[in-house]
Amino acid sequence: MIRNDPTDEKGLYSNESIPDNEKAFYDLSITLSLADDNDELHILVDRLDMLSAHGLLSDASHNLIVETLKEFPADDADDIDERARIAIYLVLSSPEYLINR
Amino acid sequence: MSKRKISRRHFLGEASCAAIGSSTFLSTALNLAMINTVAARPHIIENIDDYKAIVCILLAGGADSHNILIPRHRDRYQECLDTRTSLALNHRPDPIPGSDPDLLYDYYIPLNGVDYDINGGMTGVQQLFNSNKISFISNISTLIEPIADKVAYQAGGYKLPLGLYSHSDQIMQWQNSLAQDRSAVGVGGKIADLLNDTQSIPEISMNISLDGKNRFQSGNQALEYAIKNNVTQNNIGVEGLPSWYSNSGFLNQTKDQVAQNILEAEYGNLFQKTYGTLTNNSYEAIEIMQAALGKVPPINTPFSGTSLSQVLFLMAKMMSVQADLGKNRQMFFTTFRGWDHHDNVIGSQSGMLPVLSNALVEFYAALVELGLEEKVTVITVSDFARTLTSDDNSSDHAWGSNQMIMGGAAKRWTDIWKLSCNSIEQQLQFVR
Repeated sequence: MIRNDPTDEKGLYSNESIPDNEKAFYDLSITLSLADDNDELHILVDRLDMLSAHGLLSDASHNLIVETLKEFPADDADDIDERARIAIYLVLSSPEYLINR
Repeated sequence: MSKRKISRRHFLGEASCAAIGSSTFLSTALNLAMINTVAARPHIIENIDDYKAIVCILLAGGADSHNILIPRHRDRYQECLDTRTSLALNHRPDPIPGSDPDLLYDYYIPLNGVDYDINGGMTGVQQLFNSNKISFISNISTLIEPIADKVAYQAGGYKLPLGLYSHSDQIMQWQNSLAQDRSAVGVGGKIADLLNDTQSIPEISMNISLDGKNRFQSGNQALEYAIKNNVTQNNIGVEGLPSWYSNSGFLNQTKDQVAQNILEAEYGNLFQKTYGTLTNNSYEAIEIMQAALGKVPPINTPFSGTSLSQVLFLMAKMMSVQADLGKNRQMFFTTFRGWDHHDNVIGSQSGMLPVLSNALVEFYAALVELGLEEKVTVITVSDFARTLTSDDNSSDHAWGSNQMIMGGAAKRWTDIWKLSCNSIEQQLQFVR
């Protein structure tokens, strides 16, 4: 059995603990640093597009997501965090991401 | 795979075999032919203004249903006791009035008009049976052709259901009614394929699932509409934004609208186009379902907190707004898991049978409250029965089981059950 298997969600080996440096997580720091500035939103969407949809996101969808994100406030850390999550949500909702070709 | 050739005589023989309750879903071939005939005559369909629904409860794992029904007569009970040994409950034909109700789980309690008793954990089902609202179909399972007895079975030469005694195969065959085939299309799905054109509001399927994707409700075209048991008018659809936004309502709308706009764009790739259409249909379905849920009348019948009771509660709500969902024919599906008792059969069942029994009683009461008790039929299905013999308080996978049918149609089933009671004797013959 693999020790410290991070995919073990069911607690079958609950006596094991996963060291911090082996835990799987999503690093939001770059996404957050881009999400607070309306002028950088297109870079943010580009980056998510490259990471998840191989840069195939259509211009229309790209612009739609950028314009939508501007409607969401970016007044404090919570706002910015939520903006970043919505950016990811919308890119991951696109057929370009979901259909691998 | 070659088509199975059968003569007309053979076919009719199997059909009548099914009519005494030996084959799952009661000879679907014949019933589907009837639906097909109806569907081919538009003038009949125009007159369909009543409502009917089927509820299918899968007791997944293969419930030991020989502990649900037991012969009452002393000699036959003794026979059962000799066979089942540690799996037979203590027999008290007349439970002591005023005794500790918990103790009743160890007893069988009498059913009126038949020579059988029912597990003491199912007082609700006992009452439903004694008032002709529920019946049993005994010795029912997957079957390709009749097999007379154990001798004939051991002699071989008969077509047996594919993967007999295997959970996945038998669950599949209970749902598609084809014991000779591993078909992905279920009975409810086939019915929906034939009747879907008679129903309005295509965004919501005739088939509503409270257990995600399932074979029973999958047709060639028809799919199930899957919901969770905690769905309400205010808790449906995609996850919303945190409520600390001052204008979260507007922002939620914006988010969902944009997600839909992305999906509505023209996509050259067929998969992308199909994904876009399907997902957008689900957004529309959410709105229709949300509006319908808003019209659910108050239902005063109390439901327990168990998952099964809550599932049936939601089904009752769905039925109360069938007109708003554009349906006068509906099929519901859910699963009650955990019946694969390879250990501690009696103990485990004493916790689970009351859950099933109470849920059925509550659901029936809600149907009466909604005036739907004659229109809704509930059936239980399970992978298979379990061996009569005991292996250290456990039973193993077997074949013919005892299932329940509840609702307006169950009255006629009471007579059919009496007919098929003989087959319990056959089951005993099979094991010895």
